[in-house]
Amino acid sequence: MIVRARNGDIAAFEDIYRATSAFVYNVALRVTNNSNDADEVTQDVFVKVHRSLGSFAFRSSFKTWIYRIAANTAINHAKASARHRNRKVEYDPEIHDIEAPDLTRGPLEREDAEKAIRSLLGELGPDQRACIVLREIEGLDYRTIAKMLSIKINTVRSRLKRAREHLAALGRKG
Amino acid sequence: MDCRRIRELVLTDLADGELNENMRREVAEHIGSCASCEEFRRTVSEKALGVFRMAHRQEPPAYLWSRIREKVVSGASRRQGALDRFIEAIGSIFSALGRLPKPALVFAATGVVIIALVMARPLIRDHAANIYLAEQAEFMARLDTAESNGNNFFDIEVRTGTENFL
Repeated sequence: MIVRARNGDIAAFEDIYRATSAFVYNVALRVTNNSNDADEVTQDVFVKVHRSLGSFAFRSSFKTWIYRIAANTAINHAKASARHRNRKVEYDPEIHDIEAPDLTRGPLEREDAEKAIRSLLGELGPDQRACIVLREIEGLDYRTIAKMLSIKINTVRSRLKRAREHLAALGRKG
Repeated sequence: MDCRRIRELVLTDLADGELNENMRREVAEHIGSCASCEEFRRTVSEKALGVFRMAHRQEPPAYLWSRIREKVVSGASRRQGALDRFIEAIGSIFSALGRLPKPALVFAATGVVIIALVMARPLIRDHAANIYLAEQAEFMARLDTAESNGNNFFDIEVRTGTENFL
């Protein structure tokens, strides 16, 4: 399938897209925390993948290769957007006033949970957000996250630690 | 293990299942006997971990594939078009050269070499001139110094013609 896609077979490339787009899109969505940005990042990722098919040397898993492109493209996009929008200045009460949900009160509605997740992820910088998303939502282990983001395992650990400390502190205030 | 280390593990390896069996047991024993660490563990679990367990995967919108397909196909056509034009241009140069009779081809090649040499001459000449000028500048700088009066750079005696009157 990869070789056919590399040779210009668009149907083969569509098969690659179908097999990997859910992961790519969800990482893009959670890391950028914005559905328009997630659309743009997903498109960028697959255009990059298509252009780089010729250079894929079959030394690592193809999925890992795509997921690495996805994570890094999403992080770079989130950083650029944060610099551009200066998000500390823009205050959206609808997002920022939602506190972490009280799970002791019973199951949350799906929509409430989504709002809460977006709110909490919005409190984190792109690097910490990426680690939380890959660990908490995508269920990847430290070693895989470290490989994808080209960082050390201890860096994964420290980003998760700082992110969770921050979220726990927010929860205690609210 | 002290409480500080336990809390670090609560925030990282314990939460993520990265501890081996012995470590996990040790941490659990400490938390079981330390009210403060148990409180910390509960807060982290509720406020920083629990909500993400409710996250669900979203399907990418249907329109995304058509947009990607369009970009990929038009990008491939553009790159192929540029490559084809370049190859065509090289091909037409060679075919034009190939149509020339041999003597004309030799003459044309010789002409190109001569033109290249002529164009390079000013560069070679300028380089020699620059060296000469630099030497002269250095010599001039040493005039009227001890170096130019009988002990100068170019080993030339400077006679002013007034020696006989001193």
